[in-house]
Amino acid sequence: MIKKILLNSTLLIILLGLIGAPIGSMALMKLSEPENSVVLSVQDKREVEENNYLPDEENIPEEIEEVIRKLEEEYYQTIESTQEEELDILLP
Amino acid sequence: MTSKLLTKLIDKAIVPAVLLLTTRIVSVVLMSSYLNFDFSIGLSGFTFQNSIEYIFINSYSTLVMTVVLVVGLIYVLIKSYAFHDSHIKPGVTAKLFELKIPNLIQSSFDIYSQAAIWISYAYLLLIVSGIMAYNKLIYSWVFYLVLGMTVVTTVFFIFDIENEIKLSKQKESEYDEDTLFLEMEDK
Repeated sequence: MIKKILLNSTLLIILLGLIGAPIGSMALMKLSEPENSVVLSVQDKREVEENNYLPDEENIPEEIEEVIRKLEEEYYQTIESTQEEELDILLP
Repeated sequence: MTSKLLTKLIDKAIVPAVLLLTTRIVSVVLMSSYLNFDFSIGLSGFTFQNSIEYIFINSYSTLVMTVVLVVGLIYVLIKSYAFHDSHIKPGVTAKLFELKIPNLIQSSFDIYSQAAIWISYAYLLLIVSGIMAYNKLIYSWVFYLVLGMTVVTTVFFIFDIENEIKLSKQKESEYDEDTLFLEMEDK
C-alpha cells in the first residue's frame, strides 16, 4: 500500500513539474536597470522625459516675449476687475 | 500498481510542456535579436537593461505562447466535437479510415485527459499574465486576450461534456422498477 502511494505521489510530482515548467519559464526574464536610474516604470520614464524639457530663456524670440507680456497684463487686469466686483458685492 | 489516470496525464502533458517552453525561449531570443534589443543570458535567464524593451518582449512572448495554446486547444476541441468515438458520424469514420488516420478517433478518456492538460496550461497562463499585468510587466491587453481565450475554450468544453453526459444517459439500460408483476408471480 505504502509503495503504491509513493509511486503515485512520484507520478503526481512529475505531472505537476511538467505543467509548471512552461509557466515557470515565464519568470526567466528579468529587468536589471542601471543603479543611477531613478525611473520606476515606463510611465514614470515618460513623465521624467517630458518634465526635463526646459526652454532656454536667452533664446526666446522677441515676438513670443511680447505675446507673453500681453497675456500677463490681461491676466492681471481681469484679476483686478474681479476683485473690485467682489468688494462691491461685499460692501454695499 | 500505478494510477492509469496519472500515467495518461503525464503522457499527454509532455508534448504541450515542451512546445510551450520552446516557444517562450525561442520567441524571446528571436524577437530580441531581430529588434536589436540589448539583453544578456545568464544562470537566472534573460536579463534586459531597458524597461520598455523588457515589457515589449515579455508581452509579445506571452502572446506567442497564447497563440500556441489556442492552436492546441482548437486541436483538442475539434477532436472532441468531430472525432469523438461516442458521436462520430459514420461518413467521417469512413473518410478517416480511407485517409489511413483512424488514430484521430479517440475515446472520452483520451480526449478529456488531453483537454484537462491544455486547459490547466490556459488557466496557469491566465493567472501568471494577470499578476504580470497588475505589476505592469506586460501590456494589460495581453491579459485580456488570455482571459477571453480561456473563457471561450472552457465554455466549448463544457458544452461538449454536457453533450457527452446526455449521450451516456441515453445508452444506459433502463430497468422497470415496478415489482408488482414479480410479486404477483410469487403468489
